[in-house]
Amino acid sequence: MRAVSDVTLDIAQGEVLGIAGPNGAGKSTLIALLLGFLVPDEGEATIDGLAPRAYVERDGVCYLPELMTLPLGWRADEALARLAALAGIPASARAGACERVIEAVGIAEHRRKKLKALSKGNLQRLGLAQALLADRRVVIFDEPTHGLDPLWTARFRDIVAGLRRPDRTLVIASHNLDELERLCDRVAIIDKGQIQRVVTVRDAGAVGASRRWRLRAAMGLDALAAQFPGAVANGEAIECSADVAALNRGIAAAIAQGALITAVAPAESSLEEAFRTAVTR
Amino acid sequence: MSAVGPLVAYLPWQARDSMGRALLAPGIFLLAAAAPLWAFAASNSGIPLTEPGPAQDFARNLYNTFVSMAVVLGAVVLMNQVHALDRERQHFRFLFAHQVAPWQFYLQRFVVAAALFLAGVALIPLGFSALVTDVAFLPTMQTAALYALLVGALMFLCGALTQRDGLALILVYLGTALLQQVDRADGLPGWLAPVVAALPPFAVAGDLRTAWLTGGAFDTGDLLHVVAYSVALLIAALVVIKRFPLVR
Repeated sequence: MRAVSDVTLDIAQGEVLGIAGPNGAGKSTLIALLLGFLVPDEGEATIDGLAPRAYVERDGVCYLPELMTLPLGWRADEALARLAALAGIPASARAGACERVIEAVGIAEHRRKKLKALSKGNLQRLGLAQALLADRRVVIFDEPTHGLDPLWTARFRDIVAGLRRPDRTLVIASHNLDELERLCDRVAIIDKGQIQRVVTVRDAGAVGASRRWRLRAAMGLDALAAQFPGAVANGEAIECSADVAALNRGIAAAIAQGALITAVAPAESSLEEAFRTAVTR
Repeated sequence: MSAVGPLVAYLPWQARDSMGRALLAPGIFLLAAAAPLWAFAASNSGIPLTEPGPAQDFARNLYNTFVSMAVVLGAVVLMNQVHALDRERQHFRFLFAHQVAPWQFYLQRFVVAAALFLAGVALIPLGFSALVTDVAFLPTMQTAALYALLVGALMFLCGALTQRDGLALILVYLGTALLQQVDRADGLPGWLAPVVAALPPFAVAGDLRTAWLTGGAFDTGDLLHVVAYSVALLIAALVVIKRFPLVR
């Protein structure tokens, strides 16, 4: 059985690439190949022209695995100190680096606790902290917001935004499409071990592309629906398909007829749409 | 090529992770030897263990028996569930995202664990000499070094190949002991000779241990055989770690 096959993917320096897919699609396998924890039976994976293990052993990567699998008997600060040592951070800077990431992910009050005493969310934050210890050109996050509350999910987005750099490549595997759409330049949709589609997130929401919209109106919903053939009424809203120009024309016409529009929003995100098309179950 | 710096920095942690195992040999010895020594001393009050005679012979025989057991068991746990556990529990994902080669990491672990094991074993003759009666220090340490190398390297290889390294070692040990005993007693069919020769030299190591602990003569060729075999096991373990994927 092959977990991943026929994958061809180039990830550019400076890019933030998302890997989306349902559970068991092959996302983590792909990441294991990128880190050299797995070796492909056929073909090759390279980072900066080197085999993944050779690259990692030369330069190191920032990596947050899907599961926090550090020994549960370690204390949080001990785990960071150990990994800071392995990350090659000089002894004189190690304590400072640990402090910085502890503060960045807000686990100062849990630093002396053993990992087995940490909640799932705090464990995930610790995982994020260890991934941020060193300054690397390759950053790989596997399900980074798994177990995080909404506040820290939002905070994670800020952290990723801060990691963007022209000489740095980020790979984020997630089945949270909204997260990937907000963070990534491109998203590779993987299913059944194969890349089904690579969506350039910016282009997916391009002006010329037709997509589904949800429109709300306090008055004149019928006039609004009449502007969009095939529109489906849903309570005080309608759902319709149109490109951005047609949408604007239809709304303007409805307003001219007395409609009072209260909300205009995509019925589903462009990535969701691409995902739904690419992943057939 | 990975840098050596991170490994050097990680050395104290390797030592800390190996410390409990290193103290197992003196712990086993203490637990095993304390009761018979106490019983002997209680029933033979007035006979000094420090003076040459039956009491001292008893104490030294007891020492030889239990130090052998402690050293062998201590060597078994030296590398048990180290690499195998890191793979099974996926610790490697955190350890090896950095400029560290797994084979170098585990070689360091083996060296540190073996050094601490020897330090732990050293407490046995020192403690016994101080508290009971004089025993030779060097033979115990030679025995410990030999078993750390042979059994430690074999466990290391088992751990690199399989998740159930302890079970693998037991099976190899039992199979080897059976074949080697039969071979020594009755001789095995000729076609099995290469198989027996390729098996771990537990019997030869046992002969060396007995010779050292009892002050007898030993064959240097036997020593070279065991050391060469152990080094080959160690190299095989490192090659497996380097060549085989960590995700299996």
